[in-house]
Amino acid sequence: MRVTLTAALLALSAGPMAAQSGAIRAVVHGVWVTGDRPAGLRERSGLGLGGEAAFAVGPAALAVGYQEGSLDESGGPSTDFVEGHVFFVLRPLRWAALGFGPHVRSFVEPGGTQRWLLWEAHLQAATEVLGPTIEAYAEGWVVVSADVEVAEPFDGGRGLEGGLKVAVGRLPVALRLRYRLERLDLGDGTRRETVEQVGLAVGIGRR
Amino acid sequence: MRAGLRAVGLSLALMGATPAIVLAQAPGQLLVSGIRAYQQLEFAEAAGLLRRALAAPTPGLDTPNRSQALAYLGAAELFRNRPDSAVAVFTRLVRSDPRYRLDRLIFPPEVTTVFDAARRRTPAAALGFVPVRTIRSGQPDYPIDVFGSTYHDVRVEIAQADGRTLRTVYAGPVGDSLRLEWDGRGAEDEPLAEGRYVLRVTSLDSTGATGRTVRIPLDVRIAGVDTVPHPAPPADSVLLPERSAAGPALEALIGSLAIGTAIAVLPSALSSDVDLSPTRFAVGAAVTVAGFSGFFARRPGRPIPENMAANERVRADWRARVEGVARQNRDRMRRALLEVRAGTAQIIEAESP
Repeated sequence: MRVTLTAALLALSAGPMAAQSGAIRAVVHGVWVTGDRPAGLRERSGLGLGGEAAFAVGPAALAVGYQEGSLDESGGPSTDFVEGHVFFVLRPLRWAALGFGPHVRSFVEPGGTQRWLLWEAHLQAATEVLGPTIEAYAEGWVVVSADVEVAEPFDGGRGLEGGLKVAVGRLPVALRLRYRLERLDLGDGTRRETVEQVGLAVGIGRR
Repeated sequence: MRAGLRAVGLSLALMGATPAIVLAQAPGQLLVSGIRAYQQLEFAEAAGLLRRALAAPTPGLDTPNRSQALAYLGAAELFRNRPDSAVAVFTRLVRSDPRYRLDRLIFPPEVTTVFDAARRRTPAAALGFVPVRTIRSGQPDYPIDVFGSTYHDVRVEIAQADGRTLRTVYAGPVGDSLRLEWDGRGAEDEPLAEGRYVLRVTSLDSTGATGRTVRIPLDVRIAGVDTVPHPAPPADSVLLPERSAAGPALEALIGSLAIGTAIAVLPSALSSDVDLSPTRFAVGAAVTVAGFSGFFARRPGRPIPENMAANERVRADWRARVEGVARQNRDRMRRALLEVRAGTAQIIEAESP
């Protein structure tokens, strides 16, 4: 809420002269979740569908995302998952951006729902591959604070993402191909959660 | 004219000698003696003296005295019963000075009648003009006075030094006199460039044949033009590079190679204890392939059509501004200040058929 309010204030203070832009896209992700726990290794995979949107005023932007899906486990019950994020993004340079905000993920299992609330700080760098049409980017982040509903205490988390952003001709349509990996360490290294995603996004708005 | 008459009168008053003793005198004195002989009705002697005065070598008589001599000579020949000679002399008088008219207080009607008949048969024009005048091109500020010996058609033209007609200022009849205004323009109403030209007045006879022509050389100089300087061509800093430099291509290649490698390698480093999906290699490879594509698409030295088009627009805009200034300057040139200097008139008589 605080982040959203800050972004709104920044957007207002930017004034009418600041360039405004927006984007909205649908996302499909292949998701692999691997939990290495004292009880044993648990591997689940599935498909997630969702959407993302971003609204930028000058160098500041607000990015939100949501997806849900189902994960199948060999020999186990399927798990529904829902996740979303709200990031405040600042782009001080054409090729670099900083982001901060909450990232929430819930796994709905027969035994109950497990929620993860992660506060993440992101750093993204991008390079033009083919003029303004194709851009490659890499992003890394650390989890600065977390509230994870598991028995083990949270030790730390980090992640990375990379991929391509493609503008389709002169249309406002953009594609995005990305690979994303998150790693959470809990319980003094006794439990490790890895979430891997490969996604394809199609949307309106440049990038 | 009046000054000439006064000079002749003064000379007559001062001279008491008989015409016989002035045989070796100057043309002016011969003229005075001839007039005196005419007044004493010694027409043969008067004719002889006046012919000698007219035949005197250069500088000879000036125009008023020459006209005076011809007038008295014609009258003397008429009174010597030589009408053909009188007509020839009067015709010569008209051609040399079309504005000349016999003084009816001095010459009797039988003389003025013959003179007038000769004048009417001899179409000729004289020009009155300003020796030096500054005019604005396009404005009729240069006066040309045309004086006719008799009512006849004339053609007033501006011509090049070689005689080619540039512009006909007037073509039509002239009676006693006609005032024209020339605007400094030449062919097709274009302003004259600096140079030497000719103001030409041609008298036409009743059949339309070319008769006597008066040519006045004109030196035309541009006295002032407030033209606008042409805009400078687009500076290099304004133009976009039309061929790609090495930087962007290498940046695309190195950047995408680094990102592609990071996507492929870093997950294993980040989570080495998990068997990760191989899809990261596909994404990393896609980024790397895109980088190579970008490098070859933007290889150094490759023409950049969009920049070339943008530069062409800048150059076209510059050319349009140059053309606009040139048009403006042409318009200003059309209104330039011209200094017109007229030279000495030359008379060209048409050859007798």
